[in-house]
Amino acid sequence: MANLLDKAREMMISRRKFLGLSATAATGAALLTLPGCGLSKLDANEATALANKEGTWISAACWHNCGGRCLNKALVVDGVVIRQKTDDTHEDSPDYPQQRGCLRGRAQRQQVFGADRLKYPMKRKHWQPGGGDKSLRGKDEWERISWDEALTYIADELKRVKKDYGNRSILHIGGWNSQITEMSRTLGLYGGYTEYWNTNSFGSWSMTPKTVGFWQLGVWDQTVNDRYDLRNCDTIIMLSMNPAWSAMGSSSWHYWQAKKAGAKFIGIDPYYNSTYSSFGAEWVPIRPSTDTVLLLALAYVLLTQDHPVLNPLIDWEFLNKCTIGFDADHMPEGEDPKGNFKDYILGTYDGLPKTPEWASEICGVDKVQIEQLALEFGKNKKVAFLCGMASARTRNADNLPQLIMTIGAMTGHMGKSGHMTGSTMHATSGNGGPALVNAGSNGLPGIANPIDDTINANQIWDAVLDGKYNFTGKGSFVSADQYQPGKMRDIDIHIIYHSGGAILQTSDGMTKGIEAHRKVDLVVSHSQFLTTNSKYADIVLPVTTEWEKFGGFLGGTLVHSGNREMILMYSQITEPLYEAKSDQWIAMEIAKKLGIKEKEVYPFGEKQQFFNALSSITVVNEDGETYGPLVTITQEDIDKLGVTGKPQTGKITYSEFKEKGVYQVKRYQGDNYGYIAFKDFVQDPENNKLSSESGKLEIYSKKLADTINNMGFSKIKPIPSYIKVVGGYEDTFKDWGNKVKDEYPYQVITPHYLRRSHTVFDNVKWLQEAWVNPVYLNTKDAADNGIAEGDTVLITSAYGKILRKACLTECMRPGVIALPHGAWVDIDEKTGVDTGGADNILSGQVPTGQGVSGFNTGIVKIEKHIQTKLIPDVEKPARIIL
Amino acid sequence: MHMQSECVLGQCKPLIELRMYAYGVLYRTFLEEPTMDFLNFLKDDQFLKFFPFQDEHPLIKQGIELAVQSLNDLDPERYERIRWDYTRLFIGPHKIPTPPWESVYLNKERLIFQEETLNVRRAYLKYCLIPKNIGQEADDHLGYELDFMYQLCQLSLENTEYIGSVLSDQKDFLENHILKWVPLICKDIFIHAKTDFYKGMAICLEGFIETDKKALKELIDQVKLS
Repeated sequence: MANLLDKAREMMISRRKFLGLSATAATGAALLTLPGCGLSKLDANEATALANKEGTWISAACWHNCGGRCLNKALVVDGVVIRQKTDDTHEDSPDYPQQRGCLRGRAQRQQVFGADRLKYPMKRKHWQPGGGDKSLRGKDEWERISWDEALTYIADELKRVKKDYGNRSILHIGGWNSQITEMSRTLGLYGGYTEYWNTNSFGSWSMTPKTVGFWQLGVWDQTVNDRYDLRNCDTIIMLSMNPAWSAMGSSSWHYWQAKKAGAKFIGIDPYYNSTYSSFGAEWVPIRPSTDTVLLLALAYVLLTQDHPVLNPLIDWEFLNKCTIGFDADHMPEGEDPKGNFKDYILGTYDGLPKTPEWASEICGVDKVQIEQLALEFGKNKKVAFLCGMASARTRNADNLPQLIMTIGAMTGHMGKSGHMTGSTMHATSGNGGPALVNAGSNGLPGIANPIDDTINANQIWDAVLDGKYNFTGKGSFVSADQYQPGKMRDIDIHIIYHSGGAILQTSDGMTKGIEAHRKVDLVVSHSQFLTTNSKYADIVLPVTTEWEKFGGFLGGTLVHSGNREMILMYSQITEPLYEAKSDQWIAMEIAKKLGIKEKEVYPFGEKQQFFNALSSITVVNEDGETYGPLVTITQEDIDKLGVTGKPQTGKITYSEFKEKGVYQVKRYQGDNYGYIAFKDFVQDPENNKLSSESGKLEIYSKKLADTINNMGFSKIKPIPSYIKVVGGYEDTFKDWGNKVKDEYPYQVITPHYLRRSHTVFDNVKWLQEAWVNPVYLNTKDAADNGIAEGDTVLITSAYGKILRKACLTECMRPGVIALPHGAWVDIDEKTGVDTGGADNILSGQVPTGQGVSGFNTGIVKIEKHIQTKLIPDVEKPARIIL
Repeated sequence: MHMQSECVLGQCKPLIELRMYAYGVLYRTFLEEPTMDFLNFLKDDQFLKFFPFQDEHPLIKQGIELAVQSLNDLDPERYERIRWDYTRLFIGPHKIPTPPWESVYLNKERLIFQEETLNVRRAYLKYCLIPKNIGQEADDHLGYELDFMYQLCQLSLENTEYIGSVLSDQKDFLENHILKWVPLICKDIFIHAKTDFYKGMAICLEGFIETDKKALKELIDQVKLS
């Protein structure tokens, strides 16, 4: 065999080539070293120190909109996470549960350190100022560009578009609220922007509850008592709820204590989900979007079977004292007494009594089961009537929260121990009451948006394409200025700026959304991966995750941030990856290019913001009434952080809080932290007026009807009533009378799915493998269409087509398919079919009522698909299998 | 002692120089997107044509031939295609088919910044070398690992007293790191690359690291003899 040492001496030409470079440099080698490229030299002492670094456990943010909020920790050695753990700061018990992370939190490393993290700003190859070849959005080539280039392109386009078309032509989307992202500060100072709004998780709970008085503690889901009181209930009736999947964290643990205490569970839902099966619930298999119909029939049974002595089902005292509009004697002044709820139910004036038989034809629940269900609500049972908002994330369900309230009011299940009625979901599911720990504030002054244009999710893409929309008020679904009488407006959008969120993916009518994105001059997107927003963008900006920031807090509010009993603090795990920058940095740099002073956007930096938020956290005292500061901060802490502030005394030191990562109030049976919703109101309605105009629970609400009817999307009555749902069950028929099915015979719902938190985590391999994201079909429906387990199914609606593999189950009621919410779109450009299984490819732009995004309203057809065999998500794209 | 070192160096120098040439070209190829200057340098100065060891390993010969051919008629359009190929293979923004980090190939979860990264970092730190943006850029990028070998070659030429231990560390790094995953990514690049340039350089790389294993053995034996 040839000896390389010898051969090397003979490779004269190559050596000469190599050394010949020395004519112009010290050694030939130098020319091959270019500045900024390759490994650099480090001081020897520093090198030794780095090499010997040991691992520390650091509280790692888990910041997702997952329905939970838990403590996760990472063992970090010099920016590398060796492994993770969850809450072990105290022993776990029903009274004092740990805040334990779920499969997604434990897969967080895979998200932060995914090889596919966006590392550099990138520009679509065929984009030019003005748009370039817009048709290539979503299928173009890309180039890496510098931050300065990226920010300059963006700033120049903003200037051009502002000058030629005005600030209204900038559509700024940040997620559910355009004002919550950092860019909203810069754009607000630059003259403003058009906003996007939707009802997102809340459906018709967005506006209805506050209007009718079904409202406590300033939010939609606190009409439910605290978790100890659940154990006092005999019966827990759940409507469209799945805390086992949608409210991870301690929620299911709390319901489980009620089960152990002997509660019986009933689940009203098209899908017999994991929650119902865990608690051995009786199943009431209802068709999607027909909950109003079922509940109207329950009211009928209660009314017709109630007898004050022999069969007391209705709490008349409660109705008379606490509500208006139930019967002719309790109608508000100035309204026609005939419009009362009781006569509507009995059919006194419309000749249609809302009987179980009438209801059964529409909602699919057997009429005998409807009667039996009604009896479960009787006033003398201790009943918790709870719902998730899935049933209200449907069209034409604007009266549903009011109707749920009505059933609870009729049967007196409010304002006392062992009784509760209302929505309960997300991090506070099964655990009502004021926050025992209140998050602080970073102290940044708000920046208003001078523009008032705000476009609802059900119109947004049409508005971009057609140039007009129905303006119903400024701001998000919680804005005091929303839900105004509607007025048509012209609108001419030239820039779509996604500063956060996943709106192209999660908004109704994605097919139109993609078309809209291919119309405008510029699409910008901030993201950590090539999400749907970024896929269809011109310029993508890589942003940091919370693991790459100095630190922050999670929880401490009742608004989907964490449960009431604790607050989390997280710290930096690793340096920003590659060229990823924080949203604040981007907002500031663009501001500079637009001629706005840094101090106007951010009067102080991220560390000071962190300190402000830290020092203003408050926690309840043992009396259960008063609050005091949570964190003890010393002058040394302040100096070390390099911020301005004063020392203070609290319940936990800054260093202990940082190390532990959580502060949790310890609860026990009989403590001072209990909560009975509506207690004060029920005892003394006159002096504890509710949020409604009348101050009472409005079973008849003129305000509700006027507000919705003036918005201009569709009409309702002041009382809960039957309204045919657009795209609901009735629309699966071309001949309702003879029950002849039309083109789209199945209803589709889009439940939350544990692989993801909405759309986040969809690209994580572990989770793709564990949760395969099929379409769930009833076994018989599948057989009717020749579909077997694992077959690829083509699902078609009036708006688009998608592919998913079938999972057959008896837990889905016949006539309904369930498509997990949040899968990233992946359109096969040749066929136009989405192979990713995106829920919103099947949905359309159909505004109704208060502007509800009807994610659980949809009709489709299903077919076995043999043309292409769908690759399992975990195997896309073809890569080495290790 | 001095004479001995001189003698050893004399024997080893040519081979080390050629290895340095090879690693130099290879690390530059995979560390960053190609600039027009770099491709011209490879082409016009015939740096690619005279890449060493082509007769020693068929893959090196094949790879170089393919790569040289791909640089014929290097006009702006062809340059763009080569540049987009690099972006698509190693940067993004889509899922990258050939993630160029050791940890992705060696750990089950296919992530960057893992224990494997730390092990590579420690190997660099022994020589006071780190990526310029440490903590932000993963140390076990293919380009950095090849650069490490390049720098150690230079070090062994400049510090003949320690040539033995430097060569030994090179051998360890080659066997415990590079050879564990680079053959896999080379095969992947060959499948997924759309330009002959990267297909060729991947084949060449695969052949060269095999050759270097032999080269290091010979060099170390030679040093032992003295």
